[in-house]
Amino acid sequence: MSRFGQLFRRRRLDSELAQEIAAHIEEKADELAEAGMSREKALLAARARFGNSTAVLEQSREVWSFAAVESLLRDLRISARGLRRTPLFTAVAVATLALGIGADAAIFSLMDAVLLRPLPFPQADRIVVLWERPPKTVKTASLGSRNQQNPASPANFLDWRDRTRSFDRMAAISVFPMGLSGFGEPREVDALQVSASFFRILGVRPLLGRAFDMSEDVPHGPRVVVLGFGLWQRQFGGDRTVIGRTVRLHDEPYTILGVMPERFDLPFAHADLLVPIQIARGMDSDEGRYLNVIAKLKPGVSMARAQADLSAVARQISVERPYVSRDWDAGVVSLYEQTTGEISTALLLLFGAVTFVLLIAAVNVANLLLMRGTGRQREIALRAALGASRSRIAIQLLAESLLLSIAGAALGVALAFAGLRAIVVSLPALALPRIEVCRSTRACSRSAWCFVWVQPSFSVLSRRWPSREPIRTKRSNRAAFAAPAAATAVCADCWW
Amino acid sequence: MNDDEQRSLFPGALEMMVLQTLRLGPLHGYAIAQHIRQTSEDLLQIEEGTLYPALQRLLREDWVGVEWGISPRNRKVRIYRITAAGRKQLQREVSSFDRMLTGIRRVMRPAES
Repeated sequence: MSRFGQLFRRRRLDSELAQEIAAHIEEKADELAEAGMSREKALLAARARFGNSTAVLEQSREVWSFAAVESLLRDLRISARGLRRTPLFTAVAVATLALGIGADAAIFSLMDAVLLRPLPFPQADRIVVLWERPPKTVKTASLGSRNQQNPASPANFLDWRDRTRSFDRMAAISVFPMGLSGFGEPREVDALQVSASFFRILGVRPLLGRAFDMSEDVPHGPRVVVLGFGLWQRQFGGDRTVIGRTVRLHDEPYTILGVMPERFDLPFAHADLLVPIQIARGMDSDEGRYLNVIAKLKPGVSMARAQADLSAVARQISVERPYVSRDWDAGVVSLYEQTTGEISTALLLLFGAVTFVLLIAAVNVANLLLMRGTGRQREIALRAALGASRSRIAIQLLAESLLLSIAGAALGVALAFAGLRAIVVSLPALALPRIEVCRSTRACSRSAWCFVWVQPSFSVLSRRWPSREPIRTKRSNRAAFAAPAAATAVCADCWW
Repeated sequence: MNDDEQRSLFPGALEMMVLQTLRLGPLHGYAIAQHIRQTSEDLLQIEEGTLYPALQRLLREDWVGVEWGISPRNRKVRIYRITAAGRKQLQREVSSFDRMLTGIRRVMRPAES
């Protein structure tokens, strides 16, 4: 039905209902008068028996559904007007909420990106990182719990790979700066030397061309390279014909095999390009420990079993090569744990703190609303006397806090965006792993969630007291209806 | 009368009683209220105003129709009558109400069952 039609229909419905209710009360009064009551008393009694006629009219209207929306819009308009008239109150309330919601949204987005979002690799729960564990007597450079994590030597890596049974595949990784030339400006790049199984473990396929395979990852194998997306864009201008061409690394010619997809980056190492590591037994550097090792657990193998398996091999090694490996052990850490380990406690604490900040903000705004409610006692009592039902008054008060929290959430999102940008810019990339995944839409949805959570909690708090008072007045009206009911009736008459 | 004595009806109860009342013939609002009060022998003290939202719901579902008429006291009133759909609805309501009542009775008097 058209808007005009609705309006027309509502007018008619209203006037018909009003007439009908008036007729009802008159009929009742007639009957009471016939029984011997004075006309005036009969009318009062008839009205009392009928109940709150304004509420009846409203409830009847609401049956035809458009009333609810209309009255909500009206309440919002009235609330907006009220808030505009008290700019200081509004500013304080909105700013308080915005700070609470903004901080919460920013930290949540961070936590979500770092801790909650699954790692971007298929079957990531089976991917593990392997470390050597130095004996207690050896001092290592790294700090904290990570001093139990030492890179592996090539010889030990090969023994792990060949003797353990818990892993499907194992790959060695070594970061290595290399001079790139022969294409555009010469520059130094971060090269990642990796085993061929690296790609299979992480389940990534090149965007263009192909990755190197086992046949190329052999000692003195071919010189081949897979470009990272970033380097391909910067140095090669995203040219798709680079596949098969030659670049020079450390002045040696390397053939370009492929290009990695854009979102590929290891949690713990950034790479401009990948080259095969081509480890051989009996190399000069055999005993130096410089390899990061990743592996994929066989399906159904537990971390504990993998750990026992690896430790057994490490014990064999410490017996076989005591001159470098006496008392050295080895450890298995899940990729998730490795990525988030130390940061997770700090982030969870921070998140707990901002949640309390939000809670405090909500309580403060509730308090402000409560104070405001005290000043509005008379307005509310008057509305109740005019026949506003308890729920209508409650909705009116809710509308106000709804407006406040919408404004607070909007401003909070803006703050969260700004805060996130500041955090990302001001922290070194490695301090917070996976920060790059953190996307701003998260902040938005988070704020929406906050809003849904905050809104009712403080509305309920602030609503409790103001709506009680008028209700009590209404009750007493009913108990001894003579004088107050007459007042109500007069008001109701004006209403019609 | 205090609030404790005035037990509120379950949702739909008033609508059911209005339909039942209208089955006897078209009536205006006040007469419906009167009939319910009298036949319940004053056991059901419904606030008469609540009748009107209920009537609106019945109108919306097309279970009753309405037109202007004249009351026995010569007042212009709206007179409600039950529709065919309303009769069907009443039958459904009554049978589900009977089931509910039987259920409640059984629970309240477990010794007999």
